[in-house]
Amino acid sequence: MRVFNLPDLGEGLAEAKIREWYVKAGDSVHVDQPLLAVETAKAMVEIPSPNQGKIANLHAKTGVMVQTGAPLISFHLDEVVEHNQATVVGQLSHSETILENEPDIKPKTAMSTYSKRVQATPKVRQLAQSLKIDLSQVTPSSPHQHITLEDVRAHAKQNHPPLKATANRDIWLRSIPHTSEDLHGARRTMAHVMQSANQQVVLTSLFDDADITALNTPLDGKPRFRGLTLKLIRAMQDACQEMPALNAHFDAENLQRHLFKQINLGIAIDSPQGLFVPVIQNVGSYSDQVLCTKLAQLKSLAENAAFPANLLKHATITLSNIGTIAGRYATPIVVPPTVAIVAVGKVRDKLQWDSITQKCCCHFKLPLSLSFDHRAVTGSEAAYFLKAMITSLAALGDT
Amino acid sequence: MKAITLVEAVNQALDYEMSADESIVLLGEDIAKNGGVFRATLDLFDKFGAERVLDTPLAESMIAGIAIGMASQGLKPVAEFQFMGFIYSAFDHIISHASRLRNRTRGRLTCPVVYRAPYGGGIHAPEHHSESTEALFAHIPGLRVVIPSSPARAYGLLLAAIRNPDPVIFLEPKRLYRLFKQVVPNTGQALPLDCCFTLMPGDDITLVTWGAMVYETMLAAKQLGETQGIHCEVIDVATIKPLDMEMIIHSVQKTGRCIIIHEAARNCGVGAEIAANLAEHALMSLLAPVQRITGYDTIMPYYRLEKHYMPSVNKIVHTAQEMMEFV
Repeated sequence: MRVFNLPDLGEGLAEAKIREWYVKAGDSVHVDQPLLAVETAKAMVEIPSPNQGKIANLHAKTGVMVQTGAPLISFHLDEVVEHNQATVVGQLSHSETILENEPDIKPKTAMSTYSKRVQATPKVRQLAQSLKIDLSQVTPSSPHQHITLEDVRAHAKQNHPPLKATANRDIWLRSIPHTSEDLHGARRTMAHVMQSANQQVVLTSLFDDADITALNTPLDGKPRFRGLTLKLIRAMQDACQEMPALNAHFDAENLQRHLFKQINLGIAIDSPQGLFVPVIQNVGSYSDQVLCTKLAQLKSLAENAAFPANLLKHATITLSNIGTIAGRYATPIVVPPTVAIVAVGKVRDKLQWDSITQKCCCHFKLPLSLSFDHRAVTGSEAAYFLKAMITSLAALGDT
Repeated sequence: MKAITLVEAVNQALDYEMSADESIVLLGEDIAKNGGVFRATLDLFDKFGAERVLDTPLAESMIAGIAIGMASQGLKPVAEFQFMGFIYSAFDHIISHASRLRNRTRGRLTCPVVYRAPYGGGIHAPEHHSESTEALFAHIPGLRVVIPSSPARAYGLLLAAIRNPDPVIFLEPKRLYRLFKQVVPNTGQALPLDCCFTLMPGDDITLVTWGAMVYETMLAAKQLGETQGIHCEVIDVATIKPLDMEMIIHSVQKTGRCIIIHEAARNCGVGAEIAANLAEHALMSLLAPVQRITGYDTIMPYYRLEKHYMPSVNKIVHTAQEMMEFV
């Protein structure tokens, strides 16, 4: 038990009146916790706890005047483990934490295996940054292997690869769990081709629906459209004949366009490895049966991601069937030097008022999206092309 | 084997070396019968007797002077100053004589004395008990300045300091005296007095520190690694003078970034010396300006404010993040 007496709260103040107790007997308190407020001749003062422990007894009630030096509070002190730390001043922190054994205390051994950073002064680094040059790509000319300002300027005159991801972003990336992989194969090619195409082409897109109700051959009451890809190819053939401007190559450098009679149809095929666009040369020369076989072959090649390089070249126009999963319209990217691509969405049914029979009936609509390079194709050329495809698809059902 | 505290490791090293070498004498205020203000010399009086463990009057100048006399005549004194803040009256002896004895006598006399002193803040002590003035000694040619930061390094470095033929200022970070324990085999194995210790390897940023700040720096390095993916290389300088710049430069050439963390005031601190060396020898490798996190250029405040004076884990973490984003 420790008794705490009212200390002198000013200079020679004889007494203080208790205004409020913040604690009661039995409370646990810590050092510096306010215990009570007292009023002296000079001011209201809060008295903090001098100890850690439990309050045993309050020696005076609220409103009572207490003499300086008279008992105020009794504490049961917390048992403190005594350490023989002896110091006459201050308090040493104490813990039982065990440090691991010393790490490598022969530090010089580690020094043989390190890779030096690129050697360059801050001035050189600043120049490199402003010119967006990756210093690791610059060959130092100085005998000390330092990159000089001249080295950076010389490098800038050549074609330099763009600066890598900034350290900033790199650091953020490290702070969240993720997996990283380098793109390769078809996925890498896709990244290159799409980026370059997007930079070059003046892309414009046109959307419409083809009515393919006539192509429906229902099975067990469900609609079914057999050989739709084949029919789309035939419709594109018809459309190309109507509007040859879209079955063409555009030469931006010489401002020329090359119109083709023959149709080499690129067919965009998704695979887990990325996007492939194999080409069926001169589609018009094949019978329906042969074309179906060829399409089936392409599908199986895509699954193995094993297209021979010559199969991926010389498309004159492209067809992309995006619609088997979801999605109605899209803005597919035209890959130069071709000037047009058709994307096909998911078939949907639609109630339509027939003014002749005066009835509502169900029609099946096939969404078509035509993207074209507006440098080489006019808007009306594209519209005629799309119209020809729609007409052709509707007519194909009748045959 | 029992794990021991840093102050117990000091005691263990003194005990080991006094048993091995009869020329070693301890002197200081209250170090004999009382065992020292922090108990660094506990039980040594009982074990080695009054001739080898001497209680001195409260006169730091005299302690320093007697030790030099002993050292020049074949003894190996280990003198204790109760606190580093009391050492200034001993400066004349240490700077005018201890550091110069070898040079003055053209090598005929050496001065194998170790001046031990607890240093640094963080223990709620009054004025004169919390400063870090290692830079004052590091500036003086002829002195070695050694600062351990773990029980194992306290043991190994103190042995090396005692065995060294020239004067060594051995500063013990008293905040760490009992903050943790470590298993320290009592093998008499000394550590080198001329090299830094890499406590944690890393590629992104070099954290250079010593004394009690090693504790905060390691906490910050772990936090940076675990939460930010920033991998710090932590170097405990340990021997402030002579400075092992080779190792620090090597590390900074690898990481390209360096923060120096010390508790002492910033102006003309040892951090400035390290930064200057990096500017001379590692400039080409730097990806960001070298940073110092230090105490302020004020008198070490009374203890209610000392926490604010000393570099914090948060400050280190924040500075490291800023440096990583510099480029």
